[in-house]
Amino acid sequence: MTASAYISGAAMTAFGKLPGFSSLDLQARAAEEALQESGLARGDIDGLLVGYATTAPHLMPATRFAEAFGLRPSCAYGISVGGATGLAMVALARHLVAAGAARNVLVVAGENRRSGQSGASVTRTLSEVGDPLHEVPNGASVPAYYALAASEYMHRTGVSEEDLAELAVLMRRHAVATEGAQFRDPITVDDVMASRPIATPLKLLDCCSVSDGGASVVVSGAPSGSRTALRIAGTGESHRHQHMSSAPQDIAEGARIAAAAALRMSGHSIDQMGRAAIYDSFTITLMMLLEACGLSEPGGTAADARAGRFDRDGGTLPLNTHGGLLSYGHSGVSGGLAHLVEMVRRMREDEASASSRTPLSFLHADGGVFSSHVSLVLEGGA
Amino acid sequence: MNPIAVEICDTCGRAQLTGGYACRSCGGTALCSKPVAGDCVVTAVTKVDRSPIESPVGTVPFYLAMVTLDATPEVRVMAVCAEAVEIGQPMTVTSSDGLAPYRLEALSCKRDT
Repeated sequence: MTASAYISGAAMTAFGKLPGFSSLDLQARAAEEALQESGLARGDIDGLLVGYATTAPHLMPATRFAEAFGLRPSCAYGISVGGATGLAMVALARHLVAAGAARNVLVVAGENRRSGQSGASVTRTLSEVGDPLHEVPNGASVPAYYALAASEYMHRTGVSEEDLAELAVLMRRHAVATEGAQFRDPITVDDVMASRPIATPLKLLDCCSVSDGGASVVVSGAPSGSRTALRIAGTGESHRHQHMSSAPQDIAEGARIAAAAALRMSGHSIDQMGRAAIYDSFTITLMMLLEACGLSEPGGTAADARAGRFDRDGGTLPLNTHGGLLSYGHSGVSGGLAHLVEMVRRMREDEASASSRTPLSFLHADGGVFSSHVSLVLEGGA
Repeated sequence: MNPIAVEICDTCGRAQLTGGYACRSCGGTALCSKPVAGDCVVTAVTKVDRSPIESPVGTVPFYLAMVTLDATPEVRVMAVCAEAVEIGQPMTVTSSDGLAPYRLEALSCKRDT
């Protein structure tokens, strides 16, 4: 029988403009809270995974964090899988625990991406996501790459810009109700449509922001802490390409593969999921991943959103209930990890309130341009 | 017209853009370079209104497109154009040295298809 791994602690900071905090400060704040929640002491942590930070590049980010945070783990690794890094670290933590290499793994992410660098520096970093031989000299950046994916997808499915905008509005509606979210003013489809053009069909409000923030979780071999532990029931990954020029015709095929693997491992089907958290760097990312993972029918995401299926209150499949990257904020690796922290909070709330919602959730993130994919299935009632 | 440089896999015959050490389809390591004509079809396009660096066709706005080459349809090329293009439009992609920047130009003569 495969060994089990549980989320025993989860925490995140507020996201937004947090001047005065270094990337290490934000990592430490989130980690301290996650550790306290797990009920574990620093000496109990024998595994450490730390995500990259563009504003604090370092040869050994995990060891650096361990030194500052007072840890002496048996294994410590810096991890870099783009936007999928947060969930990839949780999957890896689960594997370390299952393999017996660690009992309690602290997963840490945090970056002062908004305050720690200029806007020009952010866009320059993002432009380097492209292939240096075949893409970067063309003069575009990540938003344009996702816009290309959107263009192809919309041509194939007939989805409109208003359909995409619906998801930005949904994420904002969730952020309005979330303490610590970067953007809490309600927006409408008209607001999204009227926002500044970035790369057609994407407008400013179709794109995630750049934020400061941190997030952390503790993955343990046994339930720990006073709160209900959630079991990591399934993990799945797929890494199909790095650059758009080398992407398969079905650019989201990696999501299908990762999702299927996670579900197979969990022994559950996608239709059983009670909640979902899907990476939303752009509205198109969210839409294409929802459909590739099987959570919406092809071309049906906007109709699901309009019908209230993804609503935080009353939805049959609440989605990114903190507001996601689009409105809670995106501080690099912690942006992706925040989806999981939020999921842990909501699943615990369900359990505490004896909710009738099925205690199963599905999470997915991509890194690059639909390049690297990680899916997770969390199971409550452990 | 300047050709586009691609690599052909000796094992499976698939083509890909240059710069790899093995075939991305079958893993074969015998790759031979081959220049192919830039006749292509647009499969995706975006009008870029914000970009961190100037494109080879000037400042924003410019058009960025994905095209498939007629000679090797499995190869997708990202290319820029100063003028609007549409999905499905036949074009020609050119390069000064076989690598990016790739520029899209209108076909000089009408195609059969």
